[in-house]
Order: sequence, then structure tokens, then C-alpha cells
Amino acid sequence: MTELNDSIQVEVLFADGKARPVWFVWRGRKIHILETTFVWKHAEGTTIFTHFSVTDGTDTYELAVDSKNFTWKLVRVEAAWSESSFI
Amino acid sequence: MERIILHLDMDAFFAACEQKTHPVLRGKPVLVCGNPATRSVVAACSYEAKSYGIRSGMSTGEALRFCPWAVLVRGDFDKYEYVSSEIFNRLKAYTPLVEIFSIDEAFLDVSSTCSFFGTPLALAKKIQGEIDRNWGLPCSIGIAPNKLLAKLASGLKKPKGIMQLSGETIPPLLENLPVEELCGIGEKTREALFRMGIITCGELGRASEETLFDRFGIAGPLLKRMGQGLDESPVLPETGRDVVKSMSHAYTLPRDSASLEELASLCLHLSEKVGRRLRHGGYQGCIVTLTVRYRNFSTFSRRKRLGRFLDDGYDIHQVACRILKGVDLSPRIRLLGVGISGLVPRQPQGDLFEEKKRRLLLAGLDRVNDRYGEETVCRASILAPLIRKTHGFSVREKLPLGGEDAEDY
Repeated sequence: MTELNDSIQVEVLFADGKARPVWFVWRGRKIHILETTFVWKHAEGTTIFTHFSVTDGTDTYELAVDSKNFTWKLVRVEAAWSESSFI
Repeated sequence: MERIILHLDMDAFFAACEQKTHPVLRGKPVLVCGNPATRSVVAACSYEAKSYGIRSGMSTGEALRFCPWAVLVRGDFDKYEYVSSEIFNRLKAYTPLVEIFSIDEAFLDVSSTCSFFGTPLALAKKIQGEIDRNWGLPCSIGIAPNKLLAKLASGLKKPKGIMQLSGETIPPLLENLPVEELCGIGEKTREALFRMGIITCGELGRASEETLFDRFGIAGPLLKRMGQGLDESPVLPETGRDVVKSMSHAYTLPRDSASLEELASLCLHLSEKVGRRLRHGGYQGCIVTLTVRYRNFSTFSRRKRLGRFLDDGYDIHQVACRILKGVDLSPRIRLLGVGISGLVPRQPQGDLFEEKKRRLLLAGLDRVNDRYGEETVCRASILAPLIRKTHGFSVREKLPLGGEDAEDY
């Protein structure tokens, strides 16, 4: 698990009353999201962040969007090949 | 009319959330704990880990001796609280009588609403299916005429089970069931009953009420009724619940400590958290409790009753530290806890100038921390380099405010 806080561009599909990230661009690479595995929110003071755990079929990424200004961050990356025994 | 009570228990909730979040963890023994890089305890574990004998509350070191290849995951309690509240809010679509029993358990009284959804079993399946569809999380549900039996039932068929206890199935089940399987009978009560020759619920239900009263006082007759599977306690939605009686925070140190300086700093950190919660809830308390656990796991608490009420973390810290100074630190301390009880709603303060200034300062600090997050402003001694290096709890990463880079503080 690598902790990051990188700004990213995200394309989001709004359907059935839900937002679903479709792809994002990180460090010049466009990553297509195969599945959103979990969604949750957390408050930092009065700001609400919505977190999306997503996978491209290989690696898992945690994206977070600031509900106030709609800026997106890539918070964590978990590479499938990681040998780490903790995440 | 016989009541229909459901007890919903999320299966290995924290671990299941992490396995859903991280597909790579699915099917693996997962231990949810504090910072995996330092020592902590297992807050929850997956069923795969439980099969190795690992249980919640074990130290991670002990758990890894049972299963060295288990994956340690740092718990994200914001995530669990959010998912829990979403699920429990959804349950209100089935009945307004939902009692949140813990972060992963709830009681539902569906006596009046069950018929809209078919049988109790059909309703339980519907709820279980909805939670699986929307959150991908497993749960077990117990159905019974009261809360005591519903809770017992949900634990009988885990994970992903539904168990209904009714009329004729109850006495044979209770006959040989150990008393400690009933919610509310802990280790001490079990031992006391054992000394009276009572081991099973059947025996408890047949025990003399007078004998039980002599040993347990007014709780005696209640225990007898529990042994008979009887419980009239209502399902209490949030608004009808008891007021808060105490508040506390505890922390397991990454390494055992005998340093008064380190422990006093941790004590301040915990006291400030207690103070924040008191003010947020509009309470003050007059009994400060310090809990200490030594490296050999022996644990004790010492309390100090005050002639005044407190809600400022610094005041709580001063009392807790006075207690701490009287504690023998030489066996080295593993866990420290600070709590406050004797709570009353916050009283209007006097007009003394200093008190007014202090109130204004606290209110200002609370407003900043409410707006920008916990410990955005805090006492400098919490951030002492010693604590930052050794305990790690004061270093927190957060999403940036106003687009700046992430910061440690």
C-alpha cells in the first residue's frame, strides 16, 4: 500500500442516483476503472470527502473527492504484486 | 400478541469492509488493527483468520503466532462508522423501532410491520439480500420473541445465517446451553453461578429465585428469567435511549513505557479527546478515571471524585496526571485510558473574567477543530517530538485544506 495525495483528473458517470468514476489520469497515465469496490464518506471538519475504492483489474486505488470544490485526489495505491504483509 | 424481534449482526464487520475495499484481501486471513507498523491489538478479524484461533482483543504479535501469513490492515473507523450508519438508516424502511446496539449490531421490533413483507423469515432474507446487494457485506439475523433470544439466535448460524427461535424450539435449546452464551452474563456472573452449581440456562431457569436474590440482589430474579429465555425489554430507537453516563478514551502504546513524561503527554492527548466529546455532547463530569494496563496485562483503574464539574481536557489531564503520579510505572505500561463519569448537562458558567476568557478560548478552539478537523489546533505538548517518534498517533495525514499539500502535524 502506497500512501499518496496526488491531484488527478477523473471522468465520472452519474446514473441511478450514484456517481461512478469511469477513468482517471495519474502521472500522465489513463487508468480505466473496471470496478468500484467500496464507497464511503468521511468528514474533516465541515468538509465531506467521498472515497471510492476502485480497481483496474490489477491494482486497487483509493480516490477521494472534496464535496466543496470537487477536486479529486488519489489517496492510496495498492499494487497487486506487493509483497507487503500489511496494508 | 407475541413480539417479533430481529437482531442483525454484521459478520466480521471491519474485516469484511476491508475485504470489500481491497479485492486482494478476499479469502485471506485479515486482522484489522491500529498502525500495523507498530504494536497494537486486533480490533476485528476475518473468518479466515478466526479459523486459526485468532480472536478480537489479542495483541497482533500473539495473533501472528497463530497465523504468520495473516494480513494486517490499519482500521479506518470513519469508514466503518459511515457504512454502519448507512445500513442502520436503511433498516428504518422496515420499522421505525430500530435500536443500534453497537457499530455492527442492531435490534428491530417488526411486530407491527412484518406482515407487510411476508413472514419474519422472508423479511430477514430481504434485509440480508439488500445489505449484500448495496454494500456487498455479509450479516446474520436472529429472529425471536425478545431481544435476548434474537441476539442468541443471530450467533447460532454465522456467517450469513438466519435463525428463528420460537415457542417449542426454545426450551430444548436453552436446556444445555452454557449460561455465558446469553448476552448480559459475563465472566464474573458465570463464575458466581458456577460456584452455585449452575452451568446451563436450563439450570438457571429452574434455580430458586430466593437463592439467586440472596447472591445477586435484584438482578437475581432477572437472571432466572434470562435462563428461561424471557425478556420484556423494549427495542429503543435512538431518541428513547438512556443518557450518556461516561466517556473515555484509551490507547495501547507501541512499546511499553515507564516514562512519566511520555505517559503524561499521552494522558493529555486522551484527556483532550474526552474534553472535546464532553463539550460536543453538552456535558460536564466530576469523576476522573485513569486506567492502566501493565505489560503483563494486569489492569486496574483509579478514580478521583471532584467537588466541581469539568469539561476542559486540560483540567481533566491535571487530575489524571495526579493519579498517574501515584501509579508504580516500573512494571512498564502497555495501555493508558482516561475517562470521566458523573456526567450532568453543562451548567451556565459564572461571570468571572478568567472563566469567561477560558470559555471563549475553548469555544474558539472547538469552532476551528469543528471546521477543519480534529487537532487542527491543539496543545503543543501533544506534538512533542518524543511522542511523535515513539507513539505515532499525533502524525496524521489528511486531505489538504484549500488545495495545499498534505501535511503532518
